[in-house]
Amino acid sequence: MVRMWTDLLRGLWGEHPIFRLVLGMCPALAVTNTAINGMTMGLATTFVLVTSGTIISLLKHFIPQRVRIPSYIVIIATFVTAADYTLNAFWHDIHGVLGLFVPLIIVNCLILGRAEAFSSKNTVKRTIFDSLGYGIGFTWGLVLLGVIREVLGFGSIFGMQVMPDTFYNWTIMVLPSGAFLTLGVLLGLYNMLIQRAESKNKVLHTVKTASEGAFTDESVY
Amino acid sequence: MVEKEGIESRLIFVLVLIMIVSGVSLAGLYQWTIPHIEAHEALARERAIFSVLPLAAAYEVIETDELLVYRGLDEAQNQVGYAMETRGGGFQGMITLMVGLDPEAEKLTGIEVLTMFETPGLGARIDEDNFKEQFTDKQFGDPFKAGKDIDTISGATLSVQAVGTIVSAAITQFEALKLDSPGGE
Repeated sequence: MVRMWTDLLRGLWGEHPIFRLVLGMCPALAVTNTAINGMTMGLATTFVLVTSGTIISLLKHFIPQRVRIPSYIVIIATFVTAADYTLNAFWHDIHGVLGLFVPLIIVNCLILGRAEAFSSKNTVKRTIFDSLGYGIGFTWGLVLLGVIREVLGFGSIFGMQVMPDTFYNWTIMVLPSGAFLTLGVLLGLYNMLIQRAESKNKVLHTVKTASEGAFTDESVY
Repeated sequence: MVEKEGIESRLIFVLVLIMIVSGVSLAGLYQWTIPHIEAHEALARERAIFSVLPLAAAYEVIETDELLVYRGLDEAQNQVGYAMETRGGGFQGMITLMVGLDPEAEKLTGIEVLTMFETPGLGARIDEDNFKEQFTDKQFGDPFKAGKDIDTISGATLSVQAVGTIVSAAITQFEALKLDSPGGE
């Protein structure tokens, strides 16, 4: 059970897809000019990560090593297309907003990256936790980028006006250059936080191993 | 995991099998969702017709050679204008518009965006009400130039001009049709 949690948490913080692995930059830069765009893109990506990851994990002994990449791409593309049709048929309004981004999910290297690095080597159960972690991690990253750019660029959050009328919208924030500015600042802040946490952990870790020593439960790891 | 030289038949078999399963399941899903998708599109088109012809209570389809034109009728079956579906190139893809026209007053009664692929947050704002509203009551002879008689959207001048060009072309096409205006029959 503990292993499931570490699988889940890894993508949420320690190996955050946007701020640590710097994967999936195309959607992270292109669609985050409003918070809602970021959120819908993140959730659609999560869906594709979990479903394609599950299938790839199920088929890991069936797919030969040499054709794994084309196989993964076909599986991912199938789920992306399925998501596109289903959204269009049953959630037409959301599709109106998201329709432009859905095909972009296929080329998101985060999905192929997880298929190659994790799903194809681990059990279905662990894959689901891992994919959920990365998916939700990706989603909150996109929402954070979207919120910052929307507040400064449109003066609103999720379409609700939050800035006073006297606030002059920074148009640059909703343009591509605003994506680079925001991402750069956030990457810097994130690395600063991680480095601080790591230097603290080092001290804690040495104290722990010295005191616990013999009580370490092997099964946990 | 030692693999032999050359192409093993298993590689081909697995890849072909995955493709077939994928193709068949997507075809099935398509068959299942297409009636819903078409229903949504028909509903959106109908909504757009009534939106660009605010006085219409019903409409009838007029067949022309290449254009889809709808004649709007009020409750007394009087003609209140025409709606025309038209398309043209936008910044990133085709923009399809529904344009409402009043041939007697020679002015627009409104426009509605049916489909477009403009940049979300920038060009996609051509679908916002306060952008579309400025086309209502515009004269047929207006220049439709972004920044002159059409207010632009920051960062999306090309999308705005595309809408202006499409509307302007639609008026020319409409006038070329020379539809009789029965007025009060």
